[in-house]
Amino acid sequence: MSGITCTQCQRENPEDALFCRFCNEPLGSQPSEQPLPDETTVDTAGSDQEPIPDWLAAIRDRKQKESPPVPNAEPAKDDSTLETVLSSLGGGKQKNNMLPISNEEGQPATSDARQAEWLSNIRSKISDGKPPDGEMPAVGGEAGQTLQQADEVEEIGEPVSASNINQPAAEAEDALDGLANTDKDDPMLQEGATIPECQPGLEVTIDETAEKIDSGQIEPKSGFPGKDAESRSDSEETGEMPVDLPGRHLRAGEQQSQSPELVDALEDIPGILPGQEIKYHPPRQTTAQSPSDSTTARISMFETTLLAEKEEHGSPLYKRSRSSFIVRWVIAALLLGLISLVQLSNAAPSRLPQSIPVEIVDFYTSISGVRAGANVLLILDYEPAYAGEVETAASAGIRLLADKQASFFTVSTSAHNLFLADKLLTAVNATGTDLEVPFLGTDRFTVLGYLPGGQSGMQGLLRDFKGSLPLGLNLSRTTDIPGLSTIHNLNSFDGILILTDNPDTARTWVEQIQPLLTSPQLWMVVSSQAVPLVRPYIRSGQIDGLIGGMYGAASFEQVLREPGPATQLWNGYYYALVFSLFIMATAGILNYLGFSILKTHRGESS
Amino acid sequence: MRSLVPRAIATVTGIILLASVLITNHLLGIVSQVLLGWIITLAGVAGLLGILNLLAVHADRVRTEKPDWVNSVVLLVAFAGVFIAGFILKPGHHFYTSMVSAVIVPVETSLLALLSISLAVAIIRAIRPGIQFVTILFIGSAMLFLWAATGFVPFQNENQTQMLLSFFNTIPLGGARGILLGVGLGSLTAGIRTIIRPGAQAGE
Repeated sequence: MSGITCTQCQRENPEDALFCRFCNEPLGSQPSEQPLPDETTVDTAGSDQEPIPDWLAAIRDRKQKESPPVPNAEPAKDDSTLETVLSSLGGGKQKNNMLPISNEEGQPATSDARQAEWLSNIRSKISDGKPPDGEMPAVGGEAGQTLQQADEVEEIGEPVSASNINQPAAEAEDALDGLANTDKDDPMLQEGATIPECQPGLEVTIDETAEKIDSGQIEPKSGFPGKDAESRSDSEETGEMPVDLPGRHLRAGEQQSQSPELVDALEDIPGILPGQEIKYHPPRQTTAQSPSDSTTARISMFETTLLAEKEEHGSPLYKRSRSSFIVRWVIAALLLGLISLVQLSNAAPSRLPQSIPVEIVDFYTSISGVRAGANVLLILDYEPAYAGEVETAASAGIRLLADKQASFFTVSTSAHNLFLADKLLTAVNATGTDLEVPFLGTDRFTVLGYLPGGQSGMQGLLRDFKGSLPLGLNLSRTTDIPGLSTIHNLNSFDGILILTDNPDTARTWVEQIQPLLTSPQLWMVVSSQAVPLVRPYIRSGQIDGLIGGMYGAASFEQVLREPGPATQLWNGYYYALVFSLFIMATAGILNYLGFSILKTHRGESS
Repeated sequence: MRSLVPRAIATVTGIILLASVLITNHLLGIVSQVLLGWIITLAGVAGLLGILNLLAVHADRVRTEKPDWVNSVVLLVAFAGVFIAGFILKPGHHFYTSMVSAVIVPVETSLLALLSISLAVAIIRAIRPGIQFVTILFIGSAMLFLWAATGFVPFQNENQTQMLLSFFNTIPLGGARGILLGVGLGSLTAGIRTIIRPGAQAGE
């Protein structure tokens, strides 16, 4: 924003400013450079003091109210007070901080006479109870003029320019509060008291006034720049009012009076004078109720916790002990070494199971009764991790069915069926029986793929087998598979062999399909871990045969009297199991003794 | 109102499917068959979404270079390789199945072997001063049946030994029957509860 630079303090002022708002120096082509007619300066002749403004003199006079007023008393010479006021107001050295004034005759008046005249005028009018005559301009200088100043000032000049006023009202008020000797008994301080400067009928238009001054239309009689001389009555006493007078604030409890005397003439022009919008109400501090004892205790506990936890600590991670790490490696190495040694020795199986479970016998009896060329559904629902155990346990039974020229159809409720089926045939072939050649790629071994829907899919097989599996592997239609031409549902098969490692899967198959099965035999080959939960079904007659784990497979091969993969692996299985039992028992006892000794040693050392 | 329609659909579907199992009716069978088809299709779509989400998660790990993002790269490359090979060779191709089984089976078998070692070490560490009676009972029963699985039972041809072995076999049988009955009853009540209060089930 372009403005006028003060020649005194070198600060920027608005363009329409006539006086510097910082040091009150007349600006540029302004009255100070081209003195207005009748402009007078303070006549300091005969006085060694620096000329002081009327308002300051009024303040000093107030101080002297305690003593009988002396009309012609000279203002107290108090340089420190003057300097304090000036410094607090931020005006600095003010050489010409006064508006030109003159008496009624237009002659420059002395300060003493000025003080006496206007002060006495005000007091006389106040005592009469009449508002001052004539039109008084509105609050000159800052809008928030204190009440103390207001009663001392007869006339308040219009602000030369609204932009000249740039004095923090609070700061000025604080400064003046330190100087003013408030007399609470002063009638002017009473509520409802009229403010001399607010005269009824006064019209104040700052912009118009400024324009008139600039254009030279206004020649202030009393020397007040910006004041309409016509609006001033003859009885008015002119006075000086610095433009940087602090604004007036309503005190607490003081209400904005509706009387014209108390109404700010510039009230209708918001934002013109700082501090005019005296609507600010500090936020009422709502104090909450004092906290209860429990709340206080919680607060103190929280604070204590915060103080205690000054440093951030990471959450402790579980660290495996070094001894546990060593034990694992030792056990793994011993087991691997033992099994490898046993298998590589190719020794004859020893200590085969002597007790044959009942379900093994039932399994053999049931499979032996299957007709030649039977259609057998293989359900492969085991995880690849258990492939070694399950395939070993099932190979004897599959080989027996293969000897009967059975046709195998594989289905799985998991996605592993695709490669488990071929792997099963490979494992069966490893027993020595050349099954892979006549089975792979022929109609006697068909991989139907994945059966979706879980239990719902199992029920769908009961209703419509090919409808539940519309597409086989390689996206071939199941209706086009020759082997399935006679298959309509599960009851069309001669036998259903379920291979699983999960007891829940075995239970689901039995519960979903067994109640509606009429003719096919239902067999199961499960992992050792599922035998306890599947055995009740064999006991209740819901399953026709069960082979469980390596023990069951070895038992079945003994019943067949044909060594199979289970027999070949029995030595390694048996010795690994026995060694595991020995390791667990021995190491457990040693662990117990070690902890006891350690505990005793710690007890002695403590 | 938003949850009322799904609740109503779930309730009606559950009742129809349950009725089709208990009641023999041609129309009911047809309707349940159609519903089962829809259910199976939705389950398949859910599986696809799971796969896509998995790929997205690992792709994000690679893009943002999170810790061990190289493993995600390996996963994505392996997935892409198997996926493309399946499209080219078809799932039933002997080479394709052999290639997949040659990787999956050894990996899963090795993990299971590590589990067995860890379980053995856990039993060893559990035998320490201050061991509780329940822990002793658990370890004892585990070792007993491990020993029974070996088949090495002295004098197992004797009648007394056979009676003792039968008794030991009856214990897991009784426990298994109890578990199966409990699971069956629990599934029944959970299913009925879902039908009656599908909203509560969904909220939980």
